Amino acid sequence: MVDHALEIVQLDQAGEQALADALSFHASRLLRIVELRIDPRLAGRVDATDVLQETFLEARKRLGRYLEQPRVSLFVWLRGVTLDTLITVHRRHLAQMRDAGREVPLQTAAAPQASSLSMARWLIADLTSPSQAAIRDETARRIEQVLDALDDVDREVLILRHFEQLSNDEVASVVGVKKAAASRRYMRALARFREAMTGVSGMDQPG
Amino acid sequence: MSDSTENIIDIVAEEFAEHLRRGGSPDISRYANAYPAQAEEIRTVLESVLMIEQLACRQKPVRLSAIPARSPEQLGDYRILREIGRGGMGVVFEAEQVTLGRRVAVKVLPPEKLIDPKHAKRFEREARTAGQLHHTNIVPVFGVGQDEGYHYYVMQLIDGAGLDSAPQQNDWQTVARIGIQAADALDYAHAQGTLHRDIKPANLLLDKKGVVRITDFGLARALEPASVSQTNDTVGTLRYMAPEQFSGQADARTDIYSLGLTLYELLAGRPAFDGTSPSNLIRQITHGEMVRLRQILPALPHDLDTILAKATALDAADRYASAGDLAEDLRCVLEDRPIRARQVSAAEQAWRWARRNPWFAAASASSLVLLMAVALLSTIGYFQIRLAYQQVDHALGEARRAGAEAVAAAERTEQERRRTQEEYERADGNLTVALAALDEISDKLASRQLPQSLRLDADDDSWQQATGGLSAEDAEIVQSLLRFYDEFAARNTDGSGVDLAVARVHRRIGDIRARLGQYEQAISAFHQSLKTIARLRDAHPEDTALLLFEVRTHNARGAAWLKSGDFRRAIELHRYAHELIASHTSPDNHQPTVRYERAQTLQALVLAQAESLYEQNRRGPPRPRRDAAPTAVPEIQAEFEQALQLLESLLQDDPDNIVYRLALARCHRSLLPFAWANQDQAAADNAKQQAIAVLEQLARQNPHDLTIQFELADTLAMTPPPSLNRPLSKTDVTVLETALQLAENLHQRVPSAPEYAVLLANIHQKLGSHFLVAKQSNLARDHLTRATGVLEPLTKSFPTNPLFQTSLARARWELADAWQRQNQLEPAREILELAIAEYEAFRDSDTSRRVSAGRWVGLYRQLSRVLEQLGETEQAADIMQAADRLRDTPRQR
Repeated sequence: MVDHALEIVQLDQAGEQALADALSFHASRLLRIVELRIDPRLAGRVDATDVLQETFLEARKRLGRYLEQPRVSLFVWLRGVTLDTLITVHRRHLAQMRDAGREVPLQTAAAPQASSLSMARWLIADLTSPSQAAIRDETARRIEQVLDALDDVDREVLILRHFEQLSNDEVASVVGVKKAAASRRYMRALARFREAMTGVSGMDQPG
Repeated sequence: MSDSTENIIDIVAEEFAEHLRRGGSPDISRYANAYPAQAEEIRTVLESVLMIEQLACRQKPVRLSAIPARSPEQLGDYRILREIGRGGMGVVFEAEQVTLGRRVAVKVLPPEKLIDPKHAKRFEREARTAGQLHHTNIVPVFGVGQDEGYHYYVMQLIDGAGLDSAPQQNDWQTVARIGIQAADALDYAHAQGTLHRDIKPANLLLDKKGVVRITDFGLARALEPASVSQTNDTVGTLRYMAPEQFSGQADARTDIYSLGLTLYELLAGRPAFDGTSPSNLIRQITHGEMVRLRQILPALPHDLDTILAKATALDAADRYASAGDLAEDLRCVLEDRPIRARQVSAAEQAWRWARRNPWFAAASASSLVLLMAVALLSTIGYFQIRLAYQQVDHALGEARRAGAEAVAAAERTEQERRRTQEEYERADGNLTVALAALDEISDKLASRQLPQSLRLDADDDSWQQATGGLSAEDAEIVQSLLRFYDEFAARNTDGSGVDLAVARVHRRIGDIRARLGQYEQAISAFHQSLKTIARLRDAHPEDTALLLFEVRTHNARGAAWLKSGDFRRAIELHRYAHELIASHTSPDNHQPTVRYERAQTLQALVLAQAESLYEQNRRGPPRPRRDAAPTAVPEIQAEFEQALQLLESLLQDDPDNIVYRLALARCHRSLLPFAWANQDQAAADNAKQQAIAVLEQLARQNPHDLTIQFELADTLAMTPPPSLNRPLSKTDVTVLETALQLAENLHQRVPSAPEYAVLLANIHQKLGSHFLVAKQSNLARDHLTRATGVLEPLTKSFPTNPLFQTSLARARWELADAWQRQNQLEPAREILELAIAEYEAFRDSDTSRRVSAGRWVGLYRQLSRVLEQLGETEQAADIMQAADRLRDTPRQR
């Protein structure tokens, strides 16, 4: 929490430079989010770092308004700007694709959904050896299946906590519920995940 | 994250995931064992977390099975019995110290917090420092240790609970008592050089007897990450953090602040800052967006509200300097004694406010009236306390005289006396602040001068009677000031203790009365002041500051005589002041203050004599009203030279001193009326040129100083009064036009300043009169119309000000004259009728009675002549009769 405080105070004082610093500080998490949320069809066409670059330009425009009344932490705000930017990118590219005569539904303004597909793609992208791929694939497929089977709320909270690596406070802030409620949702999602894991995979009880 | 209400399992899960993401292979059972009551649940959760993180983090699969570890059954010498509490900073167990067989509390820190050995070291160091604190209201730390990978520290077991779990303390006395204990403890720890840095309700333990103990001293610092930006750990608890902690600063006042917030919350039943997100909280904290407690609890004692507001002031400099001071004030509230925070801070605030607002005349009158009330209250408090002190002192003397049997009583009284004396000293301090604040305000009021150039033009006493520059609000403030000073003077009839303050107050009364044009009362107030000063001077004959104060007061009295038209007395007083300073200081005294005061006295003397001569010359013998003193010409010259020399020598030592240079300009200027009286055009030109040279240089060097520009414009505007048959010289017109530009600029910059407006109007008036005499009626009409344009709003803002009224009437009159000369009778008639209507409205006000009716008679006569020319003979006769009646009306004072 305190680092948010410091960031906001610094932003207030140092402005754009501090914004650039903050963005590079959070870059790895934000990149994860872009990679996670980007439409699979754009994966080969749009580089995540380009999205982040655009995010910075957008954040610079909106910084003043944010600092007037920072309702969320800087990271949560940057995350929001990133997702908005991603929507713009989606719209731009998918429109082009549609112009090119391909049937693509236009994304709505909602945050792009992280699909199991993108999670899997992400996983595969990191593969180095076939044997590792085999092990990974098996584990991942199981986890993926289970995650996919969870209801939207449960899945989203797990994605926020573990794929986007948000803290509970941040999840609460993003989802717009009290911290205790966010924590309860997370615990419930974990329990359901656990339940589903044992049911689906018959995986060994940990000893 | 650190809220104890949050789910501990979630916190553990978060820490676990963090560890994984940093590339570690954390041991699930270590986490589980740290919280034995929930070990099973933690284990289950962490396994799920591990699986998801594996996918998310692209980690190599980690063995899911955890190695079972021993639960902390024993840590060093301490056998763990049961868990008694938990929070972000760890879990507290009740334990038995085996060797001593005593029950203790053991706090086990979250394992992840101390992974870095540097942190572990610092934790030990802080804990040892805390162990050296021995105070009733601090939880004793027995030791610190590390065992089985756990870091822990051992404290006395307290049979009580943190204030975060205590029911709301509606009873303010209880909260005050809690505050006193905690503040005492902090005061002690601060004296030992230890800060707490994380005071919050959870860290104040209250036992069943009502004893408060602070726990976790220094822990916040120990667990502070080396670099804040590297981790999401929380330092202290945001909600109770002081604003300066965000920039990494903390001192005793930081703890005082957090304690203030804690007490606030105990009283209000809700946090002082209730933001739900960190960013909200930070906004609230750094902006001090706190609802005053009294708004939530109207029944709360006002003093307690004040104390908490002071303790939680945004700027550390505005808080209590020590926790001891806070404890003392809380005691005062409990004992119903006056608190330190109240009066001083209120008066100080007002003072600071006044300092920040040089153009305070533009501020609302109500805030100044409020200041008066504060000052008055603190003064009354002062006198009450002083009276109590005297009574106690007296009683003590009696008791001592009464002999041995009264010793015990005397001791009690002695204690009482000491306390009363402290209060007396405190009240004395309050009074000093209040007086200084008022002095500053009255200084500002008194220093707002009307243009001098008007004074020499005014051919009746409207200038003297003018409260010009004082708006209705100003006048109200001045009246409040007077009430305050009168009250002070009246209460201080025995003349003891605060003689200098009394002298200053009378002096102030005089300044303000003079400002209001009440010269008789001003003179008598100066007299009162001088009486007190005489007493003081007897006691301290060597005190130069006192001498100079006396000199200034004589000069102020002389100036009041001069303004009321008694030139003889004015000259006498200035001369006396001059002799006083000469006889008490050696001529080669080089103290700048002495030399400056001598120069000022001489200049006042020169001006009084010059004006006396000018007046004499203008009235011509026999002198109708004024008692002008005969003045030898060489004497004025000699005194003027002396003043000049003094100022020049002062400027040699301190060439950039604006005050000296302004004095030099005024000194040159004071010769002007003398030169005019002697019809000595060369001398007049010279005096004016000298003054202008000084002012022009000053204005160039201080382009933003409006006061200097005003002096310059005013001096430029000092032309000999226009006479009906002789227009101004070409040079004079050019000079006036320069003055006009300056005055226009000033008026544009500060349209609300009446002195600028009236100067501008007067210059237009002068030029208008000149062109009228020079038979250039169009130009005359132009300037006169502009003069009325500036004066009209002024008379509306200051409806009772005779100076503005007469100035406007004069401009209208001459404007009508200009029309009449061009044979434009209708406009002339309209203007004159308007001027008369304005006058008649003004005549009904109080102030008008103090102005002679002479000027107005002329208006009626002029109108009568215009009507005659228009052929309305009957009406012309009526108006002429009205004029005669007016002429015969005696002037009232």
